[in-house]
Amino acid sequence: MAQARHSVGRHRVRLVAVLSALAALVVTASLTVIPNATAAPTPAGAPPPAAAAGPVTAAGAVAEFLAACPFSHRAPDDPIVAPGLPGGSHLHSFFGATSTNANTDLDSLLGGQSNCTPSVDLSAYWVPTLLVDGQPVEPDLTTFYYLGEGIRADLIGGTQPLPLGLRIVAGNSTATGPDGSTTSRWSCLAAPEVQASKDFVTCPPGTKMESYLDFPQCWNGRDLDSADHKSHMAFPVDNACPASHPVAVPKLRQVLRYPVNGDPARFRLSSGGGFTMHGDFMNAWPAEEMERRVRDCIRPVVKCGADGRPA
Amino acid sequence: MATMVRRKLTVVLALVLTAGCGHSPPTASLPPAPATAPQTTSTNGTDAAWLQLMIPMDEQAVRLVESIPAGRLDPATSKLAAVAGARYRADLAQLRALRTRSGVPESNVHKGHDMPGLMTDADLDAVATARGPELGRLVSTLLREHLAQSVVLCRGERASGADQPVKALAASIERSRAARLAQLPG
Repeated sequence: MAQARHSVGRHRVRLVAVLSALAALVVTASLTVIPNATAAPTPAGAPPPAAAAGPVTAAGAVAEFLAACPFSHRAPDDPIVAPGLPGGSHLHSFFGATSTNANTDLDSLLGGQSNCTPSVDLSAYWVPTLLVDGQPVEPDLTTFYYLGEGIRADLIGGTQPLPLGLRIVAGNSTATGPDGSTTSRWSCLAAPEVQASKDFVTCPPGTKMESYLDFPQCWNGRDLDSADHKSHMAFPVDNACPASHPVAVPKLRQVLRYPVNGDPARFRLSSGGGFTMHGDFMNAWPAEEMERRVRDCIRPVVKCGADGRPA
Repeated sequence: MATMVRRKLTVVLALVLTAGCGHSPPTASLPPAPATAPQTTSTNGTDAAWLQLMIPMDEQAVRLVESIPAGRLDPATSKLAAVAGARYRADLAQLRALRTRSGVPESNVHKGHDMPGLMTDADLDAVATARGPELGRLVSTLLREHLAQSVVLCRGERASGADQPVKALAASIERSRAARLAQLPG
């Protein structure tokens, strides 16, 4: 399971900076099973296969906190791409904020409710709906990890909180094939022998299909959104945030576990093939809650739970 | 039996095909589109999203009208289809002019997506091969969904859009398509 991947932090050593750099190398090496050489936004940023990683190393300290936000509701709405236009999008499945619709903005999120653990996370998360034989199927486990990885270990200490109101869109809803434009990955929980793929995978009976998607983690330091909803954010280059987007923020990793397996010919996303998986995020963590987690979990490279305390 | 089916189909088509056509074209009031299209400051995200969705929706509606097998409709309905197609094309011309003027990208951001009111290529393929009652049912369902979704989207644009010409076109399309929808049987 995704969480098991990170359950290595028993060895609390002081050499975390050095060791986590080593760990990053180890993790990266272990991920070469993913056919991502040309597409991965960053060597360390590639989503790992769900169950293949297992315990990393004793040095595998991870900088992490998370929010577990189950399915809330569906609507053909997208408050980032089609704001104010109910029905203006393909079908989306919403997590976290329970009020998300076409007219959602930061104020409505801060005044609304969330189904996340922790409940202080009022953010809205949404993805295209998975259709099996034309019928919606929702994930039975939805975890949003906030990670200090993908940049050099010596830069993690400079990670800044995700600014309140930031909007990020990851993945490519208009991909026409499992090509270099696809950054999301599908894999099988409890079937590491199935190679992760940009498109749906055939998971054996008794297993579940999982989707991994990493969000860009370098912010331009100025805009909470942009006309194309992408250019205010960037992926690291050579394990550092580029000069155009100099502010490192926690990397959001979306992990969805769907209770489906078998022939993927029956599967489709509301946005098309499996390679069109994408994720949208509107940050409504109260600023002090976000700041505390970045200070206590990300910068010192500590694995925290949903409460933002060492797990 | 076949005659009755065809008669009913004619009535349905007569109503749905002529929808979205009653508004007077506001083209005269539009400023000429600049050669290069800078993003105008008067448009917001709703305006852009509305234009980017209405255009592919209407493009598919035109394709639907054009894909109805000619020999399978009576002459009167065929003529109606031709007229409706022309009117959808007129709507499209206005939508595209506003898109150019607003600097909204031409790419179809909804291609291949399952969306209410946006006919898929598979829908159109089904129409091309359907016959008899099945053809009538398909066409009627698709056009009804298209009309209904047009109304929903026009309402959203009027409520949340910023650009006056775009909002005016939305109001006009909403009026005419809502009227046709209300007249649809069943």
